[in-house]
Amino acid sequence: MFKQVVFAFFVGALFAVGLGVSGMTQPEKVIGFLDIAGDWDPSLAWVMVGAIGTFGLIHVFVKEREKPVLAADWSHIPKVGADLTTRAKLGNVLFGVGWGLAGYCPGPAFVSLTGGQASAYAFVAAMFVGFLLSDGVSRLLQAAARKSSMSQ
Amino acid sequence: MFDLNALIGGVLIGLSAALLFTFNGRILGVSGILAGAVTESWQKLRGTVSPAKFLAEGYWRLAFALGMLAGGGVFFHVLGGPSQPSPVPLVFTLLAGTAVGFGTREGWGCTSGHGVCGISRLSVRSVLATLIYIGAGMLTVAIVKGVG
Repeated sequence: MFKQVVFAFFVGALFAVGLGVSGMTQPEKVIGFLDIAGDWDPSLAWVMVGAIGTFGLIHVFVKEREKPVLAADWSHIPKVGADLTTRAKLGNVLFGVGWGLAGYCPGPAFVSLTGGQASAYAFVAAMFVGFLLSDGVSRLLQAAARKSSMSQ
Repeated sequence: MFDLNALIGGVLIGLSAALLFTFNGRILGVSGILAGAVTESWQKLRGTVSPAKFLAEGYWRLAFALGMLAGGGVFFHVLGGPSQPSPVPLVFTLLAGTAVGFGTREGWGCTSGHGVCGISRLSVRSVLATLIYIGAGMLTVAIVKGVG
């Protein structure tokens, strides 16, 4: 477990450098990529090419392993599926709206805390509130579902 | 129109996802990692999580988050990477952050979870989610620029 924790730290660092080098931590570049109807800057498409090309290729081989190198099993990897619910789709829409508005998504915003930008701090604080709100909604819905099944 | 930095950055991102997958058996989805770190830590403070669960779920997420900050420090202060503010007024940044936090959890992931890991694994769910959030993002920018 300790090895996994240490390893996660270094992967997090590599990932952050990757985000920075890619340009994802520059909100104006992100908005430029989403500005398809106007002043379109397609350069961030290359981030997807590099990322999906790399992980896609490595994944083909690694997924055949009996178990991960450090972890005990593959139990934390979700099965691929086509089961996006309406609620999840609405979540995707909301995410896209926030992303288009501020030019930040979770990773780049969090990394940008170390760049000293006040907007990153505001975004991340609000994002954490959003995380907790979603968690709260899920708990409320679960509690309501339990109550209604008990009264039947 | 080729962008070498974008490609190299993308390769580093994909490599990170591959490493976390191969070694830790985890999907590199930042919204899940950060939200998990927050909720697990909150429960640890309240004493409502078992030590075993926090060991399994909390520590590696916290370590990853700290690593992201360390990497950010390297990028901005050692490599001299550009630091740029978000171009919208504070109130919109706060609204956007809340929308992203809420939406990524409801939507089961963000650009790293769906866009990189999901698509790489040929997950139809993630391809669809990605099309939706990119579409929503593009529409939002178009509206904001149209109104502004």
